[in-house]
Amino acid sequence: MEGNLQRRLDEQRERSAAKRAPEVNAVIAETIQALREAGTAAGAPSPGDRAPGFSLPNVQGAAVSLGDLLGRGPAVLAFYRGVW
Amino acid sequence: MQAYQTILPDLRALDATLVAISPMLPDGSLSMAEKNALEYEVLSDVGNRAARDYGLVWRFPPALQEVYRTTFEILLPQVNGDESWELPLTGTFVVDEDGVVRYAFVDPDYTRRAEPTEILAALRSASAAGWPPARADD
Repeated sequence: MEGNLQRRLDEQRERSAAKRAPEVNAVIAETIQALREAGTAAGAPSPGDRAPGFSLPNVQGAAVSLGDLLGRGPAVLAFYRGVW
Repeated sequence: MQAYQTILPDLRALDATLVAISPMLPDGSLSMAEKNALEYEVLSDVGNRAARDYGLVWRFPPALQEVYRTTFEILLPQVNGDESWELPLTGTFVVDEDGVVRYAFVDPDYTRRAEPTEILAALRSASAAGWPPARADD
């Protein structure tokens, strides 16, 4: 499994795209292209930068801060858009 | 996110914690977590406040909003609890115990993800370079 995640996601993307109308795929592709051209990702922290702190509720409603997480060891933060 | 479940044992061995952060309201996150029985923390970043500090926030252009409303019938304001139509870019960060970013993966293409092997490599490198040194039994 390890190392080929992107390949599987690429296959999944092709399957999803095949089910959508061409106009819809065009809007999605244009949006991604516009984000690339705008350099939207450039504002994210890079290796060596300090990670911005946060305190957010978990599914039980308890606040979890970056400090809490780092008290246990290193943290892997995975931002994602959600599951619909 | 399910893809990262395969490396949870490796993360545990490195004393590392995986957290998933999305702008979904906690209710939505809860059903997702229950449904998939995910074994990691799912945090609700309503209003994308943390995502904004991480430079990840973007807004749906009108044409994409229209596609979501009419074709996908997904209303982000209902899912996320605000009218902004804003989302975070997909971004994965490895943060060491001193709060320093060791690895960053950000991509405007929502179907692209950090490879689990790269996440583990960054954690191992952070743990090798960091203080305190790795335990003798590691």
